[in-house]
Amino acid sequence: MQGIAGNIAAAGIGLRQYKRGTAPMPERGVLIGAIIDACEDAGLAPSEIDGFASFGDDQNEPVRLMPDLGIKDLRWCSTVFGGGGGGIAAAIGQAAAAIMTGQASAVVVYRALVQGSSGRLSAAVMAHHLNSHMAGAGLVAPAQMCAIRAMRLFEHHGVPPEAAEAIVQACYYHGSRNPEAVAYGKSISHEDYEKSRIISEPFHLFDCSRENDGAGAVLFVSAEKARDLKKKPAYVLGVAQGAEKGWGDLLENDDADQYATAGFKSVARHLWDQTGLRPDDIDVAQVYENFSAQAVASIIDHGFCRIEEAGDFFRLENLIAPSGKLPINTSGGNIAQGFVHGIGMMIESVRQIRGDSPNQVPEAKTCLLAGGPGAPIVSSAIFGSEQPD
Amino acid sequence: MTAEIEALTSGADGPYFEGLKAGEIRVQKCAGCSEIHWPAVFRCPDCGSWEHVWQTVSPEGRIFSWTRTWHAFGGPAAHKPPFVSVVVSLLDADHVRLIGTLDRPDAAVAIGARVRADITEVDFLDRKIPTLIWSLV
Repeated sequence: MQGIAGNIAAAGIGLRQYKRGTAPMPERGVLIGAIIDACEDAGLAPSEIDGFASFGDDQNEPVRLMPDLGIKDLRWCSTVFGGGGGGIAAAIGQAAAAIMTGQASAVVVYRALVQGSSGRLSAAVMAHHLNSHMAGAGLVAPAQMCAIRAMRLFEHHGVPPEAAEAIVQACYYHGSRNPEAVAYGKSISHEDYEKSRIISEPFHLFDCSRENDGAGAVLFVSAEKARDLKKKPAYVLGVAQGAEKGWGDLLENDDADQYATAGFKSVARHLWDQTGLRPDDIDVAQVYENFSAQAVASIIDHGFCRIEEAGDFFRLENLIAPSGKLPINTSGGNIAQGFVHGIGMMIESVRQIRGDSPNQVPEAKTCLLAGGPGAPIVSSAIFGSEQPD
Repeated sequence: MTAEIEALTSGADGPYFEGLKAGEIRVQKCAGCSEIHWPAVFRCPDCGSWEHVWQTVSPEGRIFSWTRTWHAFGGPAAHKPPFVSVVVSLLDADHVRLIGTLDRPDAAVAIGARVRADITEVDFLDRKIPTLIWSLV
């Protein structure tokens, strides 16, 4: 059986991001703009797009995008189940499935979120998951559901809360150096972090991503076709999605050894097996951080450090470009670049492979994209600068 | 909070909420192999049975995890921030965890602490939801 193994590549990227409530057009218009940007970036006519894949309950049905884009022949539409960002990398897997089986040739992975059109993301995510058990206990927001897991990670497993702060500080370090980031030019001190209001213990305000309006699009084509387009291809080396028994929408009854994880136990294993790579082979990572502690758990799940080593590993100097052990969220991530349901992190993955990041890791050959942690279904992907032999 | 709440029960866990209304905590036990399943299932994954009995358990447990909410997210009005939500492992069936709140927002809450439940009802989105309020013992 043929693996993904660099047989498809990201050839174009487009991101339009605005402060919440300030998008210049309704959601579909903003999305069309991002897709046009991705096509211009790649040098491909929008009318040549013949497939779409999305995640997280995106409300823009591909068929409705056809008129504005001039699409002649739509051949693939799919979305990953789940209301959160867990499916972001899995959507790349769908693009790979479509392209490698000849069902489509130019697939756009996209996510659009404009509050005036589709409401608050946090409410939409919860609408997907809420039930009477949780509502009766006052648990009605993603922040609370992630906080209750983070509490166990800190109090029971002994991961120091400073590990989560290091994630936040790394995001701000990179975001403050990215002209396109909401946090451009802004840094936060330890005191700012400590004094920010408490949302749901153990989370402070700065532990939480904040929604932006916007849309992002990444154009995927075969590796062969990508080499004929304008930009350096970012090859997809592997993608894994799913959940292991004992994880996922279980009314807080996840297995005790999985409860305080981010849900990547099986997904990470499949990703490493599929690509033949190990954590040491990863030069830079975009680790979806809906909330800081979930990014800590995600990095542990992927095997970059053991849970007992978290205090040593999660230090700012280890997490920043250009020379940290594992530079993460080099555009500022969801927390400091902006949050359009994580699509900005897929775009930053491509930029790192191209060498175009505002916080470039020198000669980055591999970039991990870890999807929305803690979701019932999670997914990860690895981008690479070269197609494996 | 504009999210629409799901139907009161998924279907499989209906008898749990009926139990709460009757003043008891009942958990689902497979009629075929006696395995306790939580969340409730339609079909037992261990023996394949579709028949279940609902066993009453003691309203006692230990805190498995918790959060104290300070931001007003728009949940039931009865839970005015700050309030503490808890996940509790039952003493009678320690692999079953139930969700509820603590009776006091300022309680010295800790993982592993012993708690006991009272059953109450909260209003949310024009529904009455039976739920558990736990107290430290």
